[in-house]
Amino acid sequence: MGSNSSDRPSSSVSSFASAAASGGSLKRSRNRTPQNPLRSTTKRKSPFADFGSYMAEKNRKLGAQFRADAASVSSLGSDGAPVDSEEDKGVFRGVSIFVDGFTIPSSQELRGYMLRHGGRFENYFSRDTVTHIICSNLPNSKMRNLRAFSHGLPVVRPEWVLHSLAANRLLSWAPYQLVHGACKQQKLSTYFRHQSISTSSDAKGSINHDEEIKVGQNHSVVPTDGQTSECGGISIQVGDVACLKSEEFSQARDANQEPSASDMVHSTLTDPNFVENYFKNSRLHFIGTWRNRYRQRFSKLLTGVKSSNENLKCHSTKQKTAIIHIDMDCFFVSVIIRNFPDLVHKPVAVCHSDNPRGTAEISSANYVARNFGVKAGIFVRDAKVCCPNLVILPYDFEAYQEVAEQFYNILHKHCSKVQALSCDEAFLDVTECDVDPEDIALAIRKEIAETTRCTASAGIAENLLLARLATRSAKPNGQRFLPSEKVEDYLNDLPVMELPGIGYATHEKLKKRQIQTCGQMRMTQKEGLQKDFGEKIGDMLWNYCRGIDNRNVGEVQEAKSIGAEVNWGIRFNDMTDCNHFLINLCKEVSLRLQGCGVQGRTVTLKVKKRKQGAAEPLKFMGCGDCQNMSRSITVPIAIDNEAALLRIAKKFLSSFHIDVKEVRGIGLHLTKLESAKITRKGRENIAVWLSSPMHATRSKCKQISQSDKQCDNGDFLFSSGPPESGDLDSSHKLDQDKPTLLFQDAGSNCSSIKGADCVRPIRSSVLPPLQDLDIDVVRNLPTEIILEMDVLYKGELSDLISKSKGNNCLTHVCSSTVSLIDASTNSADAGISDAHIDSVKLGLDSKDKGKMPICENVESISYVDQVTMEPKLFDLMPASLSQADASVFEQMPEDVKADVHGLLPLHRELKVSKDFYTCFDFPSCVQFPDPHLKTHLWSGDPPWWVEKFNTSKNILLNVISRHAKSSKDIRLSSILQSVAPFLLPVCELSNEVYAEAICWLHELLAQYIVLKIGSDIEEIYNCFCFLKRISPSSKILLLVYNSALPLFQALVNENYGGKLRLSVIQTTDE
Amino acid sequence: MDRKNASPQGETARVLTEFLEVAVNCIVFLKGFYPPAAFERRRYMNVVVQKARHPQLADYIHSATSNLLPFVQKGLVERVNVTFYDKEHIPLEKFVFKIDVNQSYNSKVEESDIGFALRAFLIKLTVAKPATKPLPPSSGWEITAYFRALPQGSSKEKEAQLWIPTDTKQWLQPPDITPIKSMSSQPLKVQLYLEHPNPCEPKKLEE
Repeated sequence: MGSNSSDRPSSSVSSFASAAASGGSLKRSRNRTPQNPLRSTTKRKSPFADFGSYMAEKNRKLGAQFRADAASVSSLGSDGAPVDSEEDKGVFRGVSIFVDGFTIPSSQELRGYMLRHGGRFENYFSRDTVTHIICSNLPNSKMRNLRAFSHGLPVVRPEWVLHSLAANRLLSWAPYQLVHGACKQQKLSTYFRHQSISTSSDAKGSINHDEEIKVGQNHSVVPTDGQTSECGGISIQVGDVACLKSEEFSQARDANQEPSASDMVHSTLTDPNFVENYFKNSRLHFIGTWRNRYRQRFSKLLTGVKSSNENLKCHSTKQKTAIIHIDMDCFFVSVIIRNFPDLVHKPVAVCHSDNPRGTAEISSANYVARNFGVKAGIFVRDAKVCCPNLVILPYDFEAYQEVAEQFYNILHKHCSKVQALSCDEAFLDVTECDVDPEDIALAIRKEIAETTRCTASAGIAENLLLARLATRSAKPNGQRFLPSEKVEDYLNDLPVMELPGIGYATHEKLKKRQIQTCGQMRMTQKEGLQKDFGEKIGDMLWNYCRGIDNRNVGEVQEAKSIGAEVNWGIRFNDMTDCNHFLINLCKEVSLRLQGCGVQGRTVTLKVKKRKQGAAEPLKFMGCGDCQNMSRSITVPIAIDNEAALLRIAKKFLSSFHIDVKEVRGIGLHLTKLESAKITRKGRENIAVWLSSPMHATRSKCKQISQSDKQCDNGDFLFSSGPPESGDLDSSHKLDQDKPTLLFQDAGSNCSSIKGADCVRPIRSSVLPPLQDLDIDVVRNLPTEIILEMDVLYKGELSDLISKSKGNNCLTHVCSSTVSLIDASTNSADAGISDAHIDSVKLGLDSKDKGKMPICENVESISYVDQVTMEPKLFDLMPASLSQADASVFEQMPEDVKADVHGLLPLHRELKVSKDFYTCFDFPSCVQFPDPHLKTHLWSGDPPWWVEKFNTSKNILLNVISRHAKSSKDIRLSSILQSVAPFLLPVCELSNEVYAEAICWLHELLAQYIVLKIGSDIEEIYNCFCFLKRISPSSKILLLVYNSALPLFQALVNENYGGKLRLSVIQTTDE
Repeated sequence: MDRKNASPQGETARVLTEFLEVAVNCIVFLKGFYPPAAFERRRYMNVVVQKARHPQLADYIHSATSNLLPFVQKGLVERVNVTFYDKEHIPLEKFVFKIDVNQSYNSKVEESDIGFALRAFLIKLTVAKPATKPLPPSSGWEITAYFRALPQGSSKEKEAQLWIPTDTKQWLQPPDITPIKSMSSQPLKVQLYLEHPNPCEPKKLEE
């Protein structure tokens, strides 16, 4: 019955209580209510007429209980605080508190204090009985109407009680007043703000404040849950509260503010940058970018390591290797505590926020704290539960950097082979040192302890894996040598989870197979592991559980991807916010790329979107339950500049079609990284190109004087050393006419007329200039369409795409070409003499397409010596090549020719034969081999012909074979598509070569038809459509097409009872 | 359709007939034979497809394709045509599904593998419009199945009787073929192509 009575009103109570007390406190008090028989009798005696009388009765009884408890506590006197209780009785005399909501200490503890020290504790709020309201956080609505809520009573934080107790007198509650925003949960907007608050004077504070609010809004990181107004709250009270606040902040918090406080005033006046600040305060970012700083700092030593690395192998055979793995003990904490000696034996953790209720994650905890169960990654509030005395300190990145440097200085001093794993962890290869590895480790550790005042642990073993495992058991502040004979025993019982490279997922999988320890894993077959986990991981597991690790110290992995991702604090109101954020993010990524000296070709944008119906995340401003979306693109030219990234990022973001309000995280990453050194020179041009709607480019092209470009290109050529083949052949093609032509035109922008002509004069009126095409779009088109476009552009397009794919040195060339072409279309109407067109065409029609014109310009004008290298023209000799042109390259020096031939195997056997075209039609050479319906050419994987063609002396076949090898897809249609551009311009080859190639191609195609006719008519159809489409530009393919078509149609008729209709979109020029 | 087909051929046939039903729906929609409102968007194999809403139309397609099941399973069906013809009942355009079910294939069939390959048909079909020819008014269409041999055996008698010999007129000249899509995934090979009358086909002899 008793339970009934307390349960019954619960729903209505809460509505009542909401005016005065929170449901939370109600619940607690109710649970506490003892169910004495008296209660049920009173109830029976006077069933409460209404709710009011019930509450009155309840309050009376609670009061009675409290007094009884207080009496017993004071009479016992011995349990809680035996000495104090008598003396202190009365500290809270006359004080009656009401605790609202969650507090630390809890309301029950507060009640205990009140009991012991003469105060009173009210379970229900009443204006008459309560003197102080204790709470540490209030909902926004109550904050706004604080007076209505408190009825004029002081609203005080629980520290007041504690401090009063500590001081043994009732302190003034004024400093402990709960103020707006005293909830220390940081919002992003306040995150950067409070520094300025605490440092600025009153007047300045308010000034700053206005700006800050503005900033906050600009910033796009406005909290969604109505806390915006709270931020406002802080600022309004800045004048009075700032000083109080800074006092209240724990020491640690003060320390947190100090390092940045000096410049913060500046940065708030300027536009503070969320992304920048975010990463400034990110530990992961510190670790992630540390390697670059390390490289820069120790680059000299590192190269030393590399060179000596070569010797390693011979040594390792003679001597048993000795590897030391050294790792600082809880680096992030110990670096901080070394300045607080009194904290050494206390539980300490590092975190960016010390709000005890906060959802900030502990990033590192010292060993004392770890014993309490505080682990990296748990929320502060959980950590506080595990360990209420936990001291939380902020990061000090400068100190980390400093200690890391000292650490590595010491390591490099003792050993030449150092492989850095992280800022606080490294492998040393001490095989070659004469000293006992254990002594080295001891010496290093000692020196580290002396220099950095932090301790390190070391593991010594014969390979990296074992050394690392040994360290684990050596921690903290110890070292362990794992001799090879003990390895087996050691590994036997080692849980698999301990092995590096085994994460949660792998562990779960292993668990399912009843594998818990390395010993158990050793029972498993290697094949079994490989089957379950994939070849690589299976192999790794198999090795690791036997303690085998073949890696060498010093094998540094290059970063494969660079980017930045923010998943915390992302709240956008509208597109402007979002764009603003993207700009900053792109800036950050761009800076990182430049910092590493690389550029990336694949851009990936990841977006976290709030899941449908997902509530506000547990972690404050966190991303919560999200749906991940990502999109990536590979651009032909590696990029690292902000504008290009932004353009792509924006495009992607809009392609997701999501409400920006739902966005919870954005990340931008670049992969397929390439060194920027080679491309750097061309950067300006790339920027122009990438951000170029055509008007911009056109005008720019006009602005950029010809001479500028020449210098540019010139530098580029020199600096990049021996350029790659594709580059060379393009840049060296030149015919002697050109210099004069160029000089004539140099003053005006007519010099670029050639560009226009590269898009054949006839077509230039029809086709959009190459540069007007969005290369990203083009790249994503189906290959057939690209090929078709490519034909229209005479191969320039594919060149643009494929060349840039292969070698970044081309980037620059491409980009400049593009812009030039465009510019040239404008001036195309300027009269050009026939002679010029002729020579220009040569360059353009020929295979290496678009980029030559520029390089020619450049070369011809400023680098005549390089110009001499252009015998290349041979290979690219276009169909329309005039005799005069041929004579030009006949004059080329022999050594240059040889050079070029070396670079272009395709043209190794080129000979200039002027009468080539006359003897072009030689159908007699093409024997149609009887369709003996064999398909032996296509048997095997890869098909037999690939090898056959490869070993053939016929260079055309070589080319085809190479393409077939490089493409995963061995369907003929795709091979043809990729190889076609090379067959397009009829190369100058001997008739025999031609005849042979055609024969083989015919045979190949015929057998392919036979093979596929029954099952994949579509594929053959694709081949033929492609051949037909391409045949107007390639004689060789035309012949193949014509010879194979009858067979094909006959077979189609036989199999399908019809004739294939080869409808091809005709190219515009006939 | 929930029939338990233990053999790989049975499983394949089930997937195939189901696919044919969807594909025929798509073809009819593609040709614009009925107003677009007669179709509704559905999702099949994660591709957006159109399905006829009219019960009779849907039923015709469903019954025609699902009744092919036993024959497809036995490898009797060589082709399934969706033929569009003019008012004289002369075919103008045929969508031909050339089917080959390998009868000697014994391994287990992954429905997802076949599904993946068949999906490509549906995707390709949605963009096949340019290859087709517009229909004249008052044209018609039908589903025709070409058998390798007429079904025999009493057990199949009933099912076989559901099919009637077609009286569609044949072209005199070999047709023009435009492949749309081919797939080959054991034990199933399917090729979809269009047939159009040869340009030199004598037109409307009657007139």
